[in-house]
Amino acid sequence: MKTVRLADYFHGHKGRVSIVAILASILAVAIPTVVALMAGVELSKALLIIALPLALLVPIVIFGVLHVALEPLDMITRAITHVSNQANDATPPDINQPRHEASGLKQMIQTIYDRASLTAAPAADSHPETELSDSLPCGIIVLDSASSVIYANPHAPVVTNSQGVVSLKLQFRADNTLAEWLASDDRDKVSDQRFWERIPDDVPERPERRFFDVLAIYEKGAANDMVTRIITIDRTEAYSEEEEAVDFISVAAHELRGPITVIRGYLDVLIDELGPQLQGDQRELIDRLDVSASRLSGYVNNILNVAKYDRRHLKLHLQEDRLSHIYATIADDLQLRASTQHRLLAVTIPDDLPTIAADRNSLTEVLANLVDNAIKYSPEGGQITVTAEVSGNFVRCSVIDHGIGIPTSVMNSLFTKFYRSHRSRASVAGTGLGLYISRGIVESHGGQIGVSSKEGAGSTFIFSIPIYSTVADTLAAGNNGNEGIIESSSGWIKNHGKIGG
Amino acid sequence: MNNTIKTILVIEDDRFIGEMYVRSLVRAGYTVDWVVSGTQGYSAATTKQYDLILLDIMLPEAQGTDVLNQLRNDTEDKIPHSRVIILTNFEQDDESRLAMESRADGYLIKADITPRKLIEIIQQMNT
Repeated sequence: MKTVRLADYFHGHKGRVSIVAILASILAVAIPTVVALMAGVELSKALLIIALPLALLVPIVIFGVLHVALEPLDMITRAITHVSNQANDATPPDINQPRHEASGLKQMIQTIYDRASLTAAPAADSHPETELSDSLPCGIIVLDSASSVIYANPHAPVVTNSQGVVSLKLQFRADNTLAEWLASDDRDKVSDQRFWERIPDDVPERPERRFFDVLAIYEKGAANDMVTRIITIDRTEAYSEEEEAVDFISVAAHELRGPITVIRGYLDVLIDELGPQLQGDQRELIDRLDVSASRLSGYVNNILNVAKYDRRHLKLHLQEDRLSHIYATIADDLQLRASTQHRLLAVTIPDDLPTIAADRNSLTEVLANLVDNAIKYSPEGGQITVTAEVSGNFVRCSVIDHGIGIPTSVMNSLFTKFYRSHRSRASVAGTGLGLYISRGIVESHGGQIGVSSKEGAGSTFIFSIPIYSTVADTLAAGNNGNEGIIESSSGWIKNHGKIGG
Repeated sequence: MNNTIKTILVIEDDRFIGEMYVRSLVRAGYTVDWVVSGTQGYSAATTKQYDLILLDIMLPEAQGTDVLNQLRNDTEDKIPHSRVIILTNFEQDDESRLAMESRADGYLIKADITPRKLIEIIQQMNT
């Protein structure tokens, strides 16, 4: 179809109407003149009486009528031209004159403007669903089967590189990335979902870094290749409050550990320097101080670890290690704890058990917590036994006491935070965090912890840790990145076989 | 690089803790210098060669992490003959801790490492 230039339409139309009007006016003069001549009127009189007045009057009348008759068309045409996308120099019609308002022309042209603004508002490629997703306060990202971003709304944590390629701007933990999950789903699943918490979009040094909760929905062969849909919720403010709580606990731990260091350290110095001169009971008093200070240190570690564990900050560095070596780092300490409270501690952890995948620092805390509990709930002179053996793909360690035992009714609550046995509240000191964090640490190793007990006869706490060879491949793939670093009971030392306790 | 440890620099601002380490280490036969701030620590470590530096983190003037970064970073190592053990009660976040692993030879919590244990660790580093 031929494109009509709207701005030219009225002038063309007016021209055509004018020609018709001129022809009509010629006829209007000619016809009465011819009729007069045929009726016998003299030519000079006919011209004088009919033709001349008509020739003067008719065009004036016709042009006057035309102007009035065509004005609405002129204004409507200019209005349509104005709202059209065509280039033009037409001035918009002045519709505010009272006569236009009275005649209804103003309303007619206003209707043109109103309709035009309604249809002009949405962009040519706009869709209601896009507007909806743009207006949501969460991020929406769609990945195709090649895991490329094919859609991201304004709140999505994405970054565009210099080539214009859009990619996700999220720093997943190395051992639990979106890419790995997608790769495994692509191999094994038709549809799947996963949720991640506290995923930062940047490195810790960046003050503007934000934290997101992320839900990914995978569907193989989805329509339009929208294979993975990701929803992100910015939780920075909620998590900052938790960060501040962890910061506070870290500072508090630092302050508490200062005096503990001095007490434990000077007791050590005193024992070293005065050892031979101390009489039996004096040595025992100093040992009790030593044990109490060491326990206090353990409580501080428990509190700190619980704070980190609850906020998913507790990260383990799993290394190939031997349970016997790990126990050795705290053996003296635990032996002293038992002997100062008149318990017998018998430890049989064979040196030739398979190596385990362990975080020494954390596992010593589990051992210390279990032995400490056994000491607390045993009678004076009671025996505590620590043994270890292979059980399937795990090394299983048991801490056995012959103490008061645990009623069946409270068995399920034992590993709950702040749970303390009703019997223990009055007689035994503790925080109720030891078993809770022990379970957290063991389960983070991929192991299990449990208890069997008979009231009045004693309890056996058992935990299992994966044998190193069964998880070595996974650890290597996860790039644990700590080769050659051996964790001590309280830190790590590089290229070092064992740190004595 | 792995000299037998004989000389030790203790960078520790807490007087009680500093004196405790110096007393025990000297008694165990080591030659020990003790300074109480980050800047003094940097200065001492770069003017005299120590076999081992025990470095606290929460220090006046310059933090232990900054001192370590100045002494040993990706482009240079001003203390190639020294080993460094971070000795702190400050609980670092995991990322900072991992970042220090490439520059330090150990990371120990003071409250858990009594002087006797520290000496055992040093003796084992010599073997």
